[in-house]
Amino acid sequence: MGGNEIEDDEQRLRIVALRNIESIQIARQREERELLEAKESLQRRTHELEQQREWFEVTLASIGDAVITTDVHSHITFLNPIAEKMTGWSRSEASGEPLVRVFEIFNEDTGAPVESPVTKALQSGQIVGLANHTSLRTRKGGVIAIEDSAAPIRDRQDDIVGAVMVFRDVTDRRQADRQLKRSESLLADFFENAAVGLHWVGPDGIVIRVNQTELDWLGYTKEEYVGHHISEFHADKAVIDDILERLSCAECLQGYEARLRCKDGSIRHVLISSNVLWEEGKFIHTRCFTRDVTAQKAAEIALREEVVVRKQAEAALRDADHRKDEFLATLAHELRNPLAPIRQAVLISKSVDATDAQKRWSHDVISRQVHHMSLLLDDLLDVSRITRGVLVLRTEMKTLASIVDAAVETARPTIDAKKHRFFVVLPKEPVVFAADPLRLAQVLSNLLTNAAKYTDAGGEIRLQASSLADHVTVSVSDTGIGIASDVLSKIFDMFSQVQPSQDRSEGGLGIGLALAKGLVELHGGTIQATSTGLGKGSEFTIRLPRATITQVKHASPLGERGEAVGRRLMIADDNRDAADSLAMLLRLEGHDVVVAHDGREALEKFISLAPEVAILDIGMPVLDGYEVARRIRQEPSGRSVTLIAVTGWGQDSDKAAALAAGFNHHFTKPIEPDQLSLVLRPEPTRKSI
Amino acid sequence: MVIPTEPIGSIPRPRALIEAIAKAGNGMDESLEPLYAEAIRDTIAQFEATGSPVITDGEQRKYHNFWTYSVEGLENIRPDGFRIPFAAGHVRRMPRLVSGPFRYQRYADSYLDEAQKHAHVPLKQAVISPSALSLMYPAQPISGYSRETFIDDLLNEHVLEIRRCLDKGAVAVQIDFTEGRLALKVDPSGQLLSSFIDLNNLGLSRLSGTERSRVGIHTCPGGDCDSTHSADVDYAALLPSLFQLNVGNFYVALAGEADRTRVLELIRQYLRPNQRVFVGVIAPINPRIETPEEVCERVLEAARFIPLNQLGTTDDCGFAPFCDDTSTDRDTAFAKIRARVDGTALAARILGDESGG
Repeated sequence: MGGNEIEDDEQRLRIVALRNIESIQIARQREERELLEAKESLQRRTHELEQQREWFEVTLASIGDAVITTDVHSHITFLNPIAEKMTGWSRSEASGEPLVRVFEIFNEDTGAPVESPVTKALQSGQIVGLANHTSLRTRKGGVIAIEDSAAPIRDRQDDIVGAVMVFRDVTDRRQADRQLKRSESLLADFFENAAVGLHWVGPDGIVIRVNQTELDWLGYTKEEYVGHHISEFHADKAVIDDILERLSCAECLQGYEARLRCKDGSIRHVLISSNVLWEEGKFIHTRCFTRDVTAQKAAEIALREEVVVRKQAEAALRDADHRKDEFLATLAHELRNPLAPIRQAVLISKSVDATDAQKRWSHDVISRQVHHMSLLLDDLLDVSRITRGVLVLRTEMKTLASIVDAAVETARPTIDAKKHRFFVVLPKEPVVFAADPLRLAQVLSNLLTNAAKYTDAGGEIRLQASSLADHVTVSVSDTGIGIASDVLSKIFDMFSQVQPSQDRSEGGLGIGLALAKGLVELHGGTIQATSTGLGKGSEFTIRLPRATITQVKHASPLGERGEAVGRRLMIADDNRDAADSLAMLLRLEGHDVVVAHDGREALEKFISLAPEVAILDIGMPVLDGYEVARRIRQEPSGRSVTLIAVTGWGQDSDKAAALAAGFNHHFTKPIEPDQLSLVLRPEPTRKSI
Repeated sequence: MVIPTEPIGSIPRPRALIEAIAKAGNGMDESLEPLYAEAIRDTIAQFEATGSPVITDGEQRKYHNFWTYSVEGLENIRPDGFRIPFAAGHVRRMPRLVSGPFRYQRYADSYLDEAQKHAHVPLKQAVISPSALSLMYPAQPISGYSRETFIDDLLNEHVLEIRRCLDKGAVAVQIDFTEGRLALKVDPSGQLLSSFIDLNNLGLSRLSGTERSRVGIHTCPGGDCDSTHSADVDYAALLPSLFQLNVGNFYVALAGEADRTRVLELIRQYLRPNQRVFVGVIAPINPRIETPEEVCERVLEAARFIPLNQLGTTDDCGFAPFCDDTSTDRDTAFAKIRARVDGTALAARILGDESGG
């Protein structure tokens, strides 16, 4: 290669270079122009950014919330005035500081530090809200309840270059929230524990909410109640259908009665008051108050029944009162009836013209009428004792036949007087059982007497007994006037009389059947009256339990009397007539009798005369019978004397008092001469009280 | 203390590869692939063995040379461009652009792909300057493709290449600006050099500051077959303009300079505070292998003029910028590199002791 070629190349190279220079200059000028434009654009952009920044800062300064911005390392770059005020840090002081130093937050419940939302925002690149119950500790140590959020700040390349956090003082709102929460809690407590059942039902009838009170009443769990149709818990479908229909028509129900079905199947009576919560015409749910009135309902029913019972009782009382009036009238009549013959007999016996036969007749009349009056009074006393529950049976083993005999003996005069045909049919084998023979005979004689009285003359009366496996029955039937069906159920009531006017003509107080019924029931038995109607006769059947009945071969006969032996007696009674008449009777029987008319006299005569038997009235003046007895027993001769108390009081307590005072026997007035004669028989046949 | 030290780039290709390329007649022949691969692997292994903290792939695949690698194979170029005469008497010739548009055939980051498979230390990558390639456009305008358009295309391609290398992970990208000193030789008025500086700065201005901090400029009087093309040009004419280039690092040949002190004084005069200068302490075109002590002396000498925080060491030039250069063998090149590494470290220890560090 020659040097010329090189020189040519260098020359061309220079030419190329020089021409390139022009192009390079053009390129550079263009670059410079573009650069200038870029600079101008940058300046404009910078200016815009400055304006934006200024606007941004003014905006942030003006904003009502506190604002803090940080770089990517959580170092503070900006605080607005609100943030300065809340944190206690000025912008110049806080700039460049780690956020945690300026923005110290903690959980207000636990006091534990809370991670800054800025940290989370920078890490996650997401907008982060602060947890609830967060408070800010200010630079001076104050505490401010806050809520905030933070978001990452991104550049045009979407790279995170920092974070912005907005927070505000919510102390007042937090307080309000607490109060609201408290209020809601109280309301919820009220709802759950109100003394009434509460529930909400949706427009479809499904239970939305229910309180614990209602669940407790009905026994369901919340899951068993909520979500179910309310009709499932109503016992009456028509009722709940009506309730829902009324509510859907915007009706307000007050005290609507319904019955709810409990889980255990029982029923509760409730009063429902309910209306509907409407929102813009839309049925939201019912507001149902349920009041349990089961107890009131039961009380109401009981009261209603009680009223009925009371009315019945009042009717019965009125009826009894009426019958009592009737009875009193009857009693007066019955007591007056004997008085006329007695008065007349007394007049006859006093008459100087009366013959001995007339005097004896008079005495018989008096004796019979007194006896009749005595029976009336006995019945009255017995009824009284039964009514008061103080009558005690003197039970002993007796044959049914002996009891029937005693009854027939009593009733026989009445039966014979009206010429009735009388039949007694008894079991072939003697039936012995434990009973009070006197009382049972009293019952039977009452039935027989009634049969005789209420059967026209020449009728038929039948006493029939039968002994079965577990009981014995005795029935008394007649062909008499019969009993109307409407009075059959009252025939055994006290003071009951089938036909008062007729009764009166027939005599009797109308208490016989009541007495009979009481005595039978005291024996554990029953008595029943049947009649096929008026004029068709009647039948009374006594049914006695056999539990105490045993078969025996030989029954001891009762009522045997020994021969009377004259004894030395003393009678003490302030009723002179009573004392003198009794003394006369006893003297007629051969006894040696002295009479005293008060207690002191009785004691003095006993000491001086030493009688074998002293018959003492209890209610005497000066010294009563008890005191006389006690003093007699203190005398040497008083230890063996037989003391007999005679009193109008016949209760067991009276008898016990007599025993305690030293009496051997106790008789109630009027004293029965036969009974007294039995006691006056010589020892050892005396009975105790 | 540590004084950074980096190579310029090229390492002589293995003899077998050079012969195979010559035989193939085309360095891009596919049959050469295994030889290229082995050459890269071996170069990196030997490079790392020198202890150099930063290495290159030895530019084993740069065909045909550091100047034309990016345009080799283009359809719109011809091999009859400018001739570059070397002192030894041989000439290298530039390609000539015959039509537009101008585009690179390849980008230097493609070399990084393979090198990174083997490297265990940071890799740097050298690229050709846009000023060097600007000489491809002929004196007469190309029909339908203006010079201005060419300059634009050239800058775009250059900036793209740098960014691709940086993005691939090159620890540094070095722009080979060997034509700077040559420009003064061709145009002593300095107008050509100024145009080169302007053109290169236009490209650099498109990079960010961060990117520019990882970019450097290499200047030398050329090094091919143990010969230079512009060693006779006074650095005093070059350096004031060179340091106007807007980059962070300068790789300046110094070991081969006759009056290093004068050059160092110039460097101290024109080096700007934010720039680091890697001074050449190894002369690749000199077959003698420098000793570490010798290198150390050169470093200590440079340190008297240049602040330590702005000082680094390098080789004056690549050991084989042209692929067919056999003037220096590989062992000599690596031995010289090791001397640079060791000598620099020795100097650093001395300087550290002196500074009490």
